[in-house]
Amino acid sequence: MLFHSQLFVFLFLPVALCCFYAARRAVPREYAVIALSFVFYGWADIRFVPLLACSILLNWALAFVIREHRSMIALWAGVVANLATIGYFKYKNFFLENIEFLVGIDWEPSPILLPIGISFFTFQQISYLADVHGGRAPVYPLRKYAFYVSYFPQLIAGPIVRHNELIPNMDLDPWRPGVAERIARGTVLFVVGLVKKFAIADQIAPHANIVYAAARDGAVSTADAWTGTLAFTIQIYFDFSAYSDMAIGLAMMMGFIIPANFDAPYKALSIRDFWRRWHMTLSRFLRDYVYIPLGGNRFGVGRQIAAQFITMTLCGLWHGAGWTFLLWGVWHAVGMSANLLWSRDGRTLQPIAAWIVTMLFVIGGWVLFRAETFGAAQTIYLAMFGLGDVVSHIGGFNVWLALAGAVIACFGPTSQDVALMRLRPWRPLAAVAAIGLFVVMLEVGKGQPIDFIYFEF
Amino acid sequence: MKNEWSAFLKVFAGFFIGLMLLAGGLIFWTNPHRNIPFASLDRPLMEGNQRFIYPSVARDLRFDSAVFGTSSVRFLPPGPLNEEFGGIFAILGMDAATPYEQYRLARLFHEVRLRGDLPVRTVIHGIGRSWCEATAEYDKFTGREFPEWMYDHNPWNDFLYLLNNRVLEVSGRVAAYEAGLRSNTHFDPDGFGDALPPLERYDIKAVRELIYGGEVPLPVEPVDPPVDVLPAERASWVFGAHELMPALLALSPHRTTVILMFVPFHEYFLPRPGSHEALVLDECKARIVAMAAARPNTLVVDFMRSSEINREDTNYWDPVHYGHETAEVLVRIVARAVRREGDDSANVTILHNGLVRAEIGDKLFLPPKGIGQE
Repeated sequence: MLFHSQLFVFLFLPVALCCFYAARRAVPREYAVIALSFVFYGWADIRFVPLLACSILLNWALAFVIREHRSMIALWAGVVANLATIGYFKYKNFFLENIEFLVGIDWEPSPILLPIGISFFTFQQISYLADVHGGRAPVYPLRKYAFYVSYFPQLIAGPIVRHNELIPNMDLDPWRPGVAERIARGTVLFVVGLVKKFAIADQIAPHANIVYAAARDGAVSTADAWTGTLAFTIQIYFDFSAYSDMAIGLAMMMGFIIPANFDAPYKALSIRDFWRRWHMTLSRFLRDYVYIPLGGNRFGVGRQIAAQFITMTLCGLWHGAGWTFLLWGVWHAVGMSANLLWSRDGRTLQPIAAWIVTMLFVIGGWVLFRAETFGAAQTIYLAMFGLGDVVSHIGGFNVWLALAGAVIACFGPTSQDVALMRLRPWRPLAAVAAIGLFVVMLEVGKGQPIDFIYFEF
Repeated sequence: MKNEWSAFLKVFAGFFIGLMLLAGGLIFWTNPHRNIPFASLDRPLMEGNQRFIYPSVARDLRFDSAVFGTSSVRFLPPGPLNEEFGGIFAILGMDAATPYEQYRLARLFHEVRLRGDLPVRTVIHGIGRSWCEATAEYDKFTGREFPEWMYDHNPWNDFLYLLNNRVLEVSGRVAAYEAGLRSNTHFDPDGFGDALPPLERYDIKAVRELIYGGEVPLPVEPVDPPVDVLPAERASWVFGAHELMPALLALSPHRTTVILMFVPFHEYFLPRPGSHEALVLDECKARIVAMAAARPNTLVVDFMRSSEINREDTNYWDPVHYGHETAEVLVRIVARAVRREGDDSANVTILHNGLVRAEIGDKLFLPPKGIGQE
């Protein structure tokens, strides 16, 4: 089930909120949320429900063993089991394709349906197992653990929530003081996310799609390469941050505060700053469970750079089973390492110059991220540098929308800041939010297929 | 502050629910696609997309006859059709309809009459190029949205698709029409929609530009020497869409007069005589005739060949669409063919005539009053 569907807004969400607030005790409330989360997850394809259920059971059992025996073997078994699951569904074909290429075996890839959200809930559980082993997490009752992993606002595309950010709050009375404020702020954030998705991301996406399809099939002009890539730069930010807004807003409606995922990343003044602002919960995961265990910055620059390369390469692969994603990760590792070497002697750039350099680097990286093949990426890069061999004009680039998106992304406050901090109970604003939701609901009612980019990961 | 947030939520909920009720109420009242249970069916057809509005015309039991196909038959005039064939025609030729879409609409038309134990008197299927593409695969749909859910017999699942901008926009048009603010409907109740510009705007130069790519008419030059292929090669050609033809023909009861009409594209738009494409078209026609011959009471007429009609540029608005006068001439020619009157060989070829004479012109199906009798 999708947040941006009439079924969710008109039926699922009201039922979920009613169940949540009607249950006076925590236990039935938690069972209700688990049941609803499984309905939410299984709505599109019920075949993945057993996978989610087994994944929760297995990880919970392993957590139990890890705590009881301080077992490193159990920890690694859990990590391997989780990685094997994601590896099978997400990377099997990629891996075999490359084996085929290397050894020349004629192999037909088998169609494997990627369980939605698998990258998110497996990473979340790996982090939990590591925390249990490190003594940073208790073993929760299965009910609470199942709630934590399957909780529908964050199940499909994050944010990647830590156990201690959600589970301790489950016992709080949802009717505690401030309930109306929490529901109102959550609702506004949810609507802001919906509007960002439909008014900006989905409107600017077609141009990027056409340009990158043209690049895959042949060639594009310099102007198209730039406008297509700028369109994608705006699209991916408004698409993914919109989903995060909705997820955080939904959790807030139930009285839970889950961590922010974006902090105006296009305001970043360095590539390291960018990763502190972009997909923050993934960055945090990679920092705590990959980068720091690899040594982080504790063993000299060389080791730090090596850790950055491994971490960012994994980051790239996490986003997709393809060499373009892997190279995108390497691209950012190069940027972070260059950033590190540049700044270690206290060198700085003027803020505007730093912002321009950072944005150009980020935009350049999006080419790899968006292109389906290296050939398409190469075509775009060549065209961006004026080396394209055609003069074409694809058109359809909405300059004003792009400008509006860019201004909001680069100068505006974040959605969370607006909805969770600055919002005041001003009634006309409630009417505006209602109209926004009304308009989006009429738009989604057309039944056109609409997905979020990060659903693919 | 607590009360202020409560008030904020109440205003939000009030506005949202109010707006939704307003939109839903307007949609229910106007019933723009005439598919809402318990809502009024007596609404003008203000939807411009035939795929969305023709299901309601197909369900309208006042019609006992119908024309199916693409835009190349959508201008066949219902008045002369009713007059010549003695039924009440619905005009259900959809722009750029694929064979599957044509079949799906025809199936709906026949199913509702079968359920109501009502007769289907005459059915004309316009056969265009999409039926004769020599590929195993064929496109089920075009880029235009095709609402399959409108073509079943469950009106309740339509509710999932009713509350949206598109329906609301058409609702607005219906409301404007009902309020007297608009006078034109997109389609008449029988599905006929006159999309051609007024005759004053007819410009033969523009038409020739569309037909020939220039203002000067060009001759159709046969391929010399003509292409020939071995029978085995002809037999190997696959027309994917033909798998739908037996099902399409089987929709109509045996008493129904079924007319397959190869539509009259402009001569210059047809394959050049002697070309490979011409052979493919001939083979396609032959196979369709063979399928039609297996069904009683079926006539196959061929306007898709060089004739007096399609050599005349002024009969056309573009290579595919002929004008109203030509449309009426076509109706008369087909009717004469049904009645086996006269020789129209300069305009049409009768590829197959399996009509049962005794049924032609019988008075079994009297048209209901109030429609088609103007």
